[in-house]
Amino acid sequence: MREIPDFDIYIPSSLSDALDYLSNEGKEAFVIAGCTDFIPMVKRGRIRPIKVLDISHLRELRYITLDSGFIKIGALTTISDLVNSPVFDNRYGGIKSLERYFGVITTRNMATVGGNLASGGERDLIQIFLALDAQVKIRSLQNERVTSPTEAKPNLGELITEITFKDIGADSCMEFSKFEKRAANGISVCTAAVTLKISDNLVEDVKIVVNRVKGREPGRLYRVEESIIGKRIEDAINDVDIMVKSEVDPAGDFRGSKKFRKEITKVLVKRTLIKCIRTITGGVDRV
Amino acid sequence: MKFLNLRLKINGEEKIIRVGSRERLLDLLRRLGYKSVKEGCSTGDCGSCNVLVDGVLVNSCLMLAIQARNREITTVEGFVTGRKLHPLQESFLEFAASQCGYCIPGILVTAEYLLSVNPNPSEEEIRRILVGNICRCGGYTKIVEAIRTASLLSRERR
Repeated sequence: MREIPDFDIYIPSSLSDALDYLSNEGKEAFVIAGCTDFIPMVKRGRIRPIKVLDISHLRELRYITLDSGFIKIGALTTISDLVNSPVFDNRYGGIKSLERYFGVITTRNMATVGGNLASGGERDLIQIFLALDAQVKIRSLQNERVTSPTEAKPNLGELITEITFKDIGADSCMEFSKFEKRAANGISVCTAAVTLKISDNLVEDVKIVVNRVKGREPGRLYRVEESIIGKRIEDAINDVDIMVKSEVDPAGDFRGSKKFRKEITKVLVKRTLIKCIRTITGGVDRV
Repeated sequence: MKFLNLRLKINGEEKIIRVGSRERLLDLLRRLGYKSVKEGCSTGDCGSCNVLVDGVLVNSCLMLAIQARNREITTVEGFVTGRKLHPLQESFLEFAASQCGYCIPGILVTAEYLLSVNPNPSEEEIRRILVGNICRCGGYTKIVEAIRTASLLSRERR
């Protein structure tokens, strides 16, 4: 572990002050909030910051609201805020499951939603937001753009400010499952995030996301989704695992070979779908 | 800027301190003599440096001291009132829950946080929160018993 080098730190008075700094003297500044990635990366010598912008105190970016059917999450919302928010009831089991799957309690208390998306890599939150069809708002001093959770890497001068998605509504559920190799701070081997809507015992809508659709890229299994929409829920899950296995083409590595990942992914998707169905039907075992 | 005069509260005591931009909260606390806060992994995995910031459990190795401005820090030194130990400390003594002791201050702070959000935790809930505190002596059984007993005793007192 290396010494943390000296750097200049700027503490903005507001979001607009932060954006102003980033577009002028702080163009190449590292933006920090929870610091759960920043300090380990500095200590390991992966980054050597010269300028740092600390936005951890900007309360205007820490909120979770439900308004006119849309949920909005400020970028500085912590993972613990998400887990404990009354906005997310049992329909959002996937978000609640972050209490189990996202690091340890200190990490959840410190890490922010915006920081997690901006850091990139194979993040569970990206998959959960993909399954919720969420959009990420990114601002600079002059512009505002909206992008997908997989593309939410801010350019120079930009900050992630908000994540928005439509409330999944009644008779719906969002669930997440993860296979990892240790109990704390584990990195995902395989994950599945599913949002399901049922109507009259039929699958009305479904979104299925896995952490490695092709290579190392997370993404939706559109063909699997299409094939089960309109089916009776009992039939929907019957062949889903075989379809998932033929659709995914994950890269293997030291955490799991390609073959192993395909097997685990198919099981996770099926289990996650079953979890959704059980939540929507009130725990009645129909599958 | 590379330095800042910081106003913060540590264990109830107001302080104004000059800190460097690269100083972590862990470094600051140890510089000020709060030696219960230990450096272990420096990456937020081991929990030896855990402290409360405004009542919330954090890794002080992952927080810059500057980020603690205007906030209230609690370390194990702040658990003691006069010469009276905290119920968790009493319980740890009674169960001989400490072996080498290096991880224990971090575990005590974690336990205090757990009891503040969940006054009656189950054994599973205690074990689950302790996944963020690594004890290389491996003495978790007595640690879990000590926390469980402290929670029961404090409930009886209420």
